[in-house]
Amino acid sequence: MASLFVIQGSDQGRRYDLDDDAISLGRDNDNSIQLHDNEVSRHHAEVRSDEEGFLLVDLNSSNGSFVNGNQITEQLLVNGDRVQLGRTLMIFTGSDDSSSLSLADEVDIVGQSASAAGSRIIHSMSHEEGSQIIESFNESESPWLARARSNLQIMYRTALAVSHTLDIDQLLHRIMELIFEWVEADRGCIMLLDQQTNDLVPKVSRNRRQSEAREKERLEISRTILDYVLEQREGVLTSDAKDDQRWDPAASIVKMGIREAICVPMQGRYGIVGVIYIDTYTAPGRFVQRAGNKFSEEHLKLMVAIAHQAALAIEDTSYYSAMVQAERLAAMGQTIATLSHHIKNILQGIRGGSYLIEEGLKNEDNDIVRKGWSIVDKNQEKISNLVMDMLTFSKDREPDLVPSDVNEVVTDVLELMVVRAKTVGVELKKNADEAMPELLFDPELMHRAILNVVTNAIDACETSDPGRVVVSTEHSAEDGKVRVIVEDNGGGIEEADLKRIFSVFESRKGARGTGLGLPVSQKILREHGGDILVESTLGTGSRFILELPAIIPDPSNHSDTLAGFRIE
Amino acid sequence: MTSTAPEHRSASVLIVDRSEETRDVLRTILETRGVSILEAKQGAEGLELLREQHPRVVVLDLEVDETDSGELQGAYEDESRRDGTSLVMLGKVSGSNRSRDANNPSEPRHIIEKPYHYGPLIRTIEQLLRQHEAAA
Repeated sequence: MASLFVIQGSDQGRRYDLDDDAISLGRDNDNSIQLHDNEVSRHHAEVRSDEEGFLLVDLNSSNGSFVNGNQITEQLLVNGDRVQLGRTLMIFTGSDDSSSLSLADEVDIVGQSASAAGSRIIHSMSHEEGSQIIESFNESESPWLARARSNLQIMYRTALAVSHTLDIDQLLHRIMELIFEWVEADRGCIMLLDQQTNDLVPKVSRNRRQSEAREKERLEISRTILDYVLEQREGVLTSDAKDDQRWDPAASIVKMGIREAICVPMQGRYGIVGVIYIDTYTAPGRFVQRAGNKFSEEHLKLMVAIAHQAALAIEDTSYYSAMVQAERLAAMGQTIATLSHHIKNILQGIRGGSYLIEEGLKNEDNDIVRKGWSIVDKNQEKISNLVMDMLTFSKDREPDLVPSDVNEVVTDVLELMVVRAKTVGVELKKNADEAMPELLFDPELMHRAILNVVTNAIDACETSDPGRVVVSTEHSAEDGKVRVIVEDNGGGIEEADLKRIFSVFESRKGARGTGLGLPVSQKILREHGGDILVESTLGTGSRFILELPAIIPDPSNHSDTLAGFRIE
Repeated sequence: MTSTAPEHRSASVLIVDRSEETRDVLRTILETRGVSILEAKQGAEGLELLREQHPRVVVLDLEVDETDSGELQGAYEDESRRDGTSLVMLGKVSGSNRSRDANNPSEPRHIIEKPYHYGPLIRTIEQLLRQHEAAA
């Protein structure tokens, strides 16, 4: 589906699907897309869709609507367009279903066919070899060709540098290293524009003389040069600042004794993200005559190209980070909303129970007090389970393996569930393998894992008449596994739901389910080196098999980790 | 023992809530006050009881079904308006319905957001029952 994704502004990270014929954008809350931006008009613009595509229409806004930096009154949007309203910058992504379909019709990936039978690989080349080819240098070739080859090499290495990282600082360091390898600059700095303040912030600074002379010199960069580059959006090369007509002799560059400098804008798809600056430097009072110029126009061209590559990579990284952040926030929002909902329901139950106790005491009616207390008790159990599930789910831990009895754990769980099963008219049966040996596992965690599955089983057959849940245990010496099998005669699970039941917060029990039970049980089994298998038939019931390796305690080893025990 | 209010003896309250606990609490308290109770744990079941039994007050949990509560709310509002039944809704009322309420204060419905306290809810139900008594 077509969408607008906010990459800059107060709503950064939000994605708005363009799922209607007319989508209004503006500051007021009656807009389809409300933008929290004071520079956006109350009803700023509208995106209208028809068979031709998506048309952005400005609704006579105070500050105008811009597409790719150009003010528009109406503009048909294409994939990748950047839409700016006020300080909010969005990327338009069009629906590409039709194009992918038509391409699929035109391109076939075929197996061995008659026409392809004659094809054979005559040469292959690895990624590393590819880079060596550019590096190879023939002394007999012309200086022009040598220079062209060298430039190509620089661009190739720049492309590699920007493609191999999503860490902006690391990327900028690589770019600076590359520049220093290639050109005889004394000092260099990369500065990025702060999106909020629009100020240039130094990110990487390098001084060749500092490492040689071991003296600390502050890198001072002329504001005059920076302003020119940012305003004109073009790179500059100054061979001697004092002679250059563009600079006011009173300006900062002259005072600083700069001889040669290159400063280029980091021009990306959506604007300037920063500048790269290099210079050769002679401090006042330490002037030494140098022969010839270090920087040429060719250096400037290459620097512009390098800065453009770096800017594209920075934009991509920022876009990616914004998306990751948006997804993280969405996940966190969903978690908080889901947990709040469960806690609210539990709180409601506690309030109900407390109210009954209060009324019962007031009227000296012990039956009402007891009823109230049982509701409070049930809800404190619910909140305890919720907290335990949350803790188990959120922590990665190694199970505390102690010699334990699987049958005993199952018995404990069933005893705990018997009242609940009876209340909803479900028969609870145990079918234990009496030859079950004592095994090493974490009984507390396994209790929780089995409890969650049994709770689900009882809930699943609430509507079955009569409902029945059978919990069996079995130890297989053949495959060295122990299984706890929970079978119910409930409605079964639909095929599509089977894939989702272990996903966190996916509950088929509506408001009653936390969506944590099965993910927690699965996590516990996996921490034990086992897993949960599910078999289900719609209308017949489900079978959950909690399977874990049967680790027999070795009396000679008192370690309590997985190592040192024999797996039967 | 609790005192019963004879004037409510013939009145009936329909509780539509899938939480057995909530139904239990409301039933227990209202019955001690002499109110007869009808219960439903699903929206459709409650709507049927509303049409058949004509209770004076309906207490509807808007989360009673997992489906869109707006539709359910609309059906209960239409039915209760037709029947002169007072409607107490528990939970969040959807946007369009909320604004309709603001424009029409005479709507015979009351909204109590969750989580709520039972004391005020019981008092609201009793007050509505008294209004019905007075109007009868």
